[in-house]
Formats: sequence, structure tokens, C-alpha cells
Amino acid sequence: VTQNLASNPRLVVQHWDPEEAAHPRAIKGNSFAVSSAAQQFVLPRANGGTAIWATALVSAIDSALTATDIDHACARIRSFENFDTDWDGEGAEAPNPELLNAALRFLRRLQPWHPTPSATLDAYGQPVIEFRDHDASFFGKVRFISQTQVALFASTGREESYIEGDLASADVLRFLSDQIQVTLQP
Amino acid sequence: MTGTWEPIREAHSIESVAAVVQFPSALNDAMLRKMLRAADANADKMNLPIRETMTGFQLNIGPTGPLAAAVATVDHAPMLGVVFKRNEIATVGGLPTTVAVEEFQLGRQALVYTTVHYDRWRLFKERLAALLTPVLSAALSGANVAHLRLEYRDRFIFSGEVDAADTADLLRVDSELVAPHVFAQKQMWHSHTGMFVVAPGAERRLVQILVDAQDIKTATDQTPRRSISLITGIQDFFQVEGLESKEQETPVLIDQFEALHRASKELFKKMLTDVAKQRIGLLEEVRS
Repeated sequence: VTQNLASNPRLVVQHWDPEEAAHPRAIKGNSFAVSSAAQQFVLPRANGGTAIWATALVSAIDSALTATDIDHACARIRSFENFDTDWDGEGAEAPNPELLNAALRFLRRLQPWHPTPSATLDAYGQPVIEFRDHDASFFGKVRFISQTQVALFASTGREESYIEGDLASADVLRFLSDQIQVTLQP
Repeated sequence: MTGTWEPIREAHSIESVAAVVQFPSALNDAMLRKMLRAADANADKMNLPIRETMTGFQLNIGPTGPLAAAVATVDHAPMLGVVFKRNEIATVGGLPTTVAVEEFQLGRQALVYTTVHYDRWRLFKERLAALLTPVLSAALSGANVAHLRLEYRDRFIFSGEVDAADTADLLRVDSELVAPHVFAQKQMWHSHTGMFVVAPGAERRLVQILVDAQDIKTATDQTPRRSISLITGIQDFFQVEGLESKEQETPVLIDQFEALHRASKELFKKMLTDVAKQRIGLLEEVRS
């Protein structure tokens, strides 16, 4: 069965191959996504089961879930790898490659719905990820001071808060979630 | 040529339950992200460790008959958005496979919570409130709720031969919610009905009763069995624009699900025979 997605916002196909129904692993689980760019999708041959395909509520979601800002921050961190001592003309230290890697690992754990990250470097060669959210009018900062240690700062306009510790520690993760609205998965 | 109507679960017949919060129009990026952050901060504590982003079309494929997985509600097909969920190993069609047993979907137009693990209403409502409260509070800072929906999917399977399955042993012949023709029908059938009714706390209430008979087989049992599924969907609409609109509050909206549950239970009881109600303990208020 082949159907055109554009002309079939909802399609229910009944009676498909029971061999495949009995082997959901063979079709990679019982649920998977087809690209929104797809124009056609070929369903399994019909004979005795049920396949349901629905495209209701097709409001584009991509704009809210783009990871472009995260990608840009990663690219900027990588660009710091070429910086030498005195890269700012005022005696700044050269960036520490291990800290740059720690910042990259952190960025890769971000979700697209987190506040917008941007990457910068301080005079001690430590990478800093800054977070802004115009809607929530707050500012957050994560400074990488060792491979595992970070210093976090958050400002909501009315109050400021600060914590330093292991990025894997409960206190730091809670601060990230509560103050900077970044919840990291374990 | 004997058999009995057996519920899909040991203690009750509930295959899955879904609760839906629908917004009147699509939320913008800022609102959606705010909701997602609230859900994200809560997800691990709620034991929904898997996050999946659906930015394309979704295709669900499964064997005929009971599916031990979270399924879309009648009102909502799978949405484009983010799903927080938990998978477990379960038997589907007689084969062990990984299925989503609990899902919390967040999209621009709706929030949908679905679970196949139903024990008691009090526990379900506590969990629903724990999931919805932070997200709905974030949403209500810039949006309204157009309707709430609670949808129960119940299923019974006849243990004997298909020909011996008597629908009247399961469903009341005099129930006004089931079409009379189904009791004489030996082949498969549908009985779908719906109506708007007056409901306190809402502008109006939609009631949907969808009863379907199927003959199913599993990988371990190739003998067809008659299965009857009952979807009880109760949906409260709210006036969200104009003079009649009221300011909405998260606890009030969550409490409204209690009213949906009570209405659903009364309707379900009206459909079942006393024997069936006894079998699933409904006479003892298991669903309370």
C-alpha cells in the first residue's frame, strides 16, 4: 500500500502481514517516525493485522526544537583550540584543551529547549558557557575550572546565586536545573 | 463450547488510560520551551527517563488485538513534540518486546499522559497531578485550556470458542449506550455512540462510548478469540474567550479530572452485566 501523505492526513490500514505483527523487533519496535519531508510511505503488505498511521496536529515543531545554538557554541569552543597565550593582547592564558573538552561534553548534553547557550573564554583560559533567555529575563554562566569541576552563576534580575563543585554532584545538578533551567540527564 | 469473558488484567479490565489537556491554539516557541523545561526537570523523578523528539510523522504498527503499549487516544493521534516515557519488557502477541508503558507527550496543542499501569484512581490522579502541575502552571502563564479529556480503554477476551461468545454475558442488553444489533451479531461489529451533556465546572461535556468486537490471535495461541474493547471518553470543554471565560488554575483543572473519572465509571457500570462487574470487582469500587 502506498499513500501520499499530503492528501491523507489520517490513514488507517487494516489487515497486514501477521508474520511481521508477530515479530515487532523485525520492524524495529512498534513505533517509529517518518521524516516530515517524506512524500510517500510504503506500508507492509496487507493481510491480517493492523497498522495505524496518523498525522493529526501537524504543527511544525522544529523551530522550538532546533539545536543550532548548541552547534554554534560547540563550534566556538573548538575554535578556541587554536588560541595561544596572550590571545586577547592583555596577557590571557592559552586555553586548556582538557577544559575545552569538558565544555564540549557539557554542550552535547544540552537539550534544544534549554536556554540559549553561547561559548566564551576567560583570561585564565577557562571556557565559559553563558545562558540567556529573553523570555525569562535571566542570565546563567557555567565556568569549567577542571575536567570535572565547574563554577555556576545565575542572575534573575532580582537575585544572584553562585555554586562551585563537581558537575556530577547533586548540588550542582540541582542548581543547574533550578537556577539556570538546564536539567541534565544522568 | 464453554468459556467466560476474562478481563485483560488480573484485577480489572483497563488496558490503558489517557488524560489530555488541549490548548485552544498552538503555543509559541517560548511557551513550548517553558513547558518542556518544567517537564524535563521533573522527568527523572517521575521515572520517565527516555526523551524522544517527534518532528516527523509517526507510524504505529502492532499485532491485531491487545497491545501492551501506550496508545494514542481517540481524540489525539501521536503528536509532534517531545515524549517523556518509560519502556518495559512486555509480552506483545506472545513475544517479549520493549514497549512504552507510560508516556507524557508535550506538543504545541496538547499535553497527553498515557499509561498501561492502572491500579487505583487515587494513585493515577496523584501521578497525573505530579506530572501536570509544573507543566500546566508554566502553560497557564500565557495560555488557556480548551478542554480536558479522560479516556479509559477496557478489554475483555472470551476464553472459549468464538462461536460460543455471547455478548449479552458481558454487556447489558438493555444498555442505552450499546447498539441493540450487536447482541445478535455473530460476526465482528462496532457500536459507537456519543453525546453532549451538561457538566458542572465546564461549558459542556462530550461523552463517547466506542465498543468494538474483534477476533484476535497471538503468536502463542493461533486459535481466534473474541475480544471486546470499550473506550469510554469523557471530555469537558471550557469557555476560553469572551465574557464567559474564567481565569483557569492548575489545581482546579486537575480536580476536574476527578469529575471526568466519576462520570466515566458510572457510564462503564451501566454497560456491563452484574457478572462482568463482579468479575472485575467494580461492584467493590476497584476503579475508585
